[in-house]
Amino acid sequence: MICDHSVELGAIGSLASPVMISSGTFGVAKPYMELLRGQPVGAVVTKTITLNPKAGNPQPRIYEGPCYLINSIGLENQGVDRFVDFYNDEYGEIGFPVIVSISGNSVDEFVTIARKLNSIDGLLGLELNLSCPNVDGEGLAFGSVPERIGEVVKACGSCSRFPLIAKLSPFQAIDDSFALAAARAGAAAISLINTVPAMVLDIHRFRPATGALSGGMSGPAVKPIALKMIYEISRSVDIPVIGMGGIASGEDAIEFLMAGARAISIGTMNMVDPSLPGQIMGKIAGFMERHDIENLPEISRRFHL
Amino acid sequence: MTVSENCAVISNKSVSIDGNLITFSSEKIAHSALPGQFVEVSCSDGGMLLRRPFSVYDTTAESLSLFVKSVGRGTRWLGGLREGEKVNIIGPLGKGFSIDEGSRSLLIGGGCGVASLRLLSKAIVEAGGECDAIFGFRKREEIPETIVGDFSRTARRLTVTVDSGDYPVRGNVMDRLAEIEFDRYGRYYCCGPTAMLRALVPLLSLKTTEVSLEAKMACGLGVCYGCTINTDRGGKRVCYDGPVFTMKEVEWNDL
Ligand SMILES: Cc1cc2nc3c(=O)[nH]c(=O)nc-3n(C[C@H](O)[C@H](O)[C@H](O)COP(=O)(O)OP(=O)(O)OC[C@H]3O[C@@H](n4cnc5c(N)ncnc54)[C@H](O)[C@@H]3O)c2cc1C
Ligand SMILES: Cc1cc2nc3c(=O)[nH]c(=O)nc-3n(C[C@H](O)[C@H](O)[C@H](O)COP(=O)(O)O)c2cc1C
Ligand code: FES
Repeated sequence: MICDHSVELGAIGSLASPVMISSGTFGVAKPYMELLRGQPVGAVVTKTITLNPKAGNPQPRIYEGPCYLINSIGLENQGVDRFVDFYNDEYGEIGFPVIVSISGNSVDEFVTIARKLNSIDGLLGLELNLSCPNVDGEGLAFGSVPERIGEVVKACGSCSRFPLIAKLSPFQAIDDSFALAAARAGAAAISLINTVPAMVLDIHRFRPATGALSGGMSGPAVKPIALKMIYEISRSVDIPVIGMGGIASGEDAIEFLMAGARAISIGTMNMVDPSLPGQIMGKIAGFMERHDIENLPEISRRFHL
Repeated sequence: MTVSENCAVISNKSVSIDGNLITFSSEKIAHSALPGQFVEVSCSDGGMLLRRPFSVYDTTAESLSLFVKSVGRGTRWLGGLREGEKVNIIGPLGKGFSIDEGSRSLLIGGGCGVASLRLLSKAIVEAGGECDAIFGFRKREEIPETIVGDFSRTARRLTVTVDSGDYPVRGNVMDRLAEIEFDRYGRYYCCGPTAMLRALVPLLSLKTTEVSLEAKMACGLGVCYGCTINTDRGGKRVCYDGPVFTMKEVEWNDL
């Protein structure tokens, strides 16, 4: 039997592999690219870029617990202008389709960044990192109301020449209101989950264990939470859902596909072992063969209660 | 080129009260590791999520050795590895030390920081130079005699000192530096606890001094920005732009 391992991501188009690499865990640094070469990666998402350069948070930025990672990187990045200037040098020959992750403190900032990115050719899409904790003019945390999410998606959609993915934090995925708002505003896909807001204290020093007060939790411990959210949201929206959160193996990836994710994305565990895409595809291929499954969406169609 | 290699333990010897010298079979990584570079060792079989970074202590054509000081879960697990067990290692990583042909160098190491200086001392001698070394440990039981023995073959003059307890020379590396004409060297290389490095700054920052730094790392591969430190050229990744930096460029007040 010939199994089809490609995926259709709606307006984004088709990916040769359902395995993507998540924002903040992909970079063009040489050692990483050398390890990733030849891996079956459908698309990569860049680290989130902002309008202005950001220095990021003080050290320590990494805390490792049993089965989870807390990071407080603080979106360190060089800003959109430098990103655009150096795009061809840095990303020109990486060999994987690229999605650029962007974040802003206001609708205007998102729009300005999206406009500037129009000067790059051949992006697969933009991912809107909507987990921004900043407070806007009306005193509301920017990402805390579905209407605002709808506004951002709509405004970016009208100025960007690339399809948009709305990336939700776990708080925005508690119910389907944010996902529906994004879909109605024209998002091509939804991705979830971003890291879970979390903190650790150093009780001996009466202070946080990370340089910043808190950070974002990722890794295997968040997987069951992510899975439930993906299960629910993929049933509510009629655009594709890209599932992520703690995927560490081919079995994990199959679970996400079965729950309703059209494609899956790996972050933390791919930094630990950049041969993970190949391992995952090997498992998926074997699984499809064993169960006579011809294409990836069939995996979730077979799911039943 | 950075590769991922499954390496079998050839030997795992306790060399001090809390240190092990672990030798792994390795062709690819051992073949290309340069002085000051490090590797990322998978501890997933011991139940750990992240890899652990270690300086390459020494290499042969078929092996790679690490000097691992036991400080927590991962290092304790590595210390318990038995001959023949396999772990996955990624390397070599990072930017190592630069060597000036024929120069006289002083190596200053504290604790497990001495590990990053071994390949360097060999390379200095191979390049026609010579080196002296001052190593500090907290107490006598922490001195890895085998490792000190290895260095005594490449370092012209080797001084070992302990912070406290009973040992021929007592005091820290600063005390030992005060006793010699430390101005005579062409190059200085330092690796050890941040407190030691910071103490050396007033003496050595105007000289040609390189330091090897540590930071908590998630990827070790230059992608996550978990290990960024401040330098006079802005934020730099310890795993990618370092771990070796010039003493001058590091913003010591921020460390
Ligand atoms: C480039 C580099 C080279 C290194 N070379 C050596 C070496 O040659 N020999 C050696 O024994 N150790 C070396 N280290 C330190 C070593 O990586 C840590 O001791 C180890 O990761 C601790 O793991 P653990 O699970 O035992 O400790 P954990 O249980 O994770 O932590 C125990 C203690 O170790 C500290 N620690 C944890 N990770 C690091 C880290 N990456 N750097 C510094 N401190 C850390 C923690 O703050 C904590 O106090 C190096 C670190 C770096 C970044
Ligand atoms: C070190 C690190 C940095 C991250 N940076 C970003 C980021 O810049 N933008 C973003 O949208 N998500 C970021 N994330 C979240 C991941 O993209 C992903 O949503 C999350 O980690 C869950 O997947 P995982 O458990 O497979 O890592 C980051 C995660 C990690 C571990
Ligand atoms: S540890 Fe990830 S960039 Fe250095």
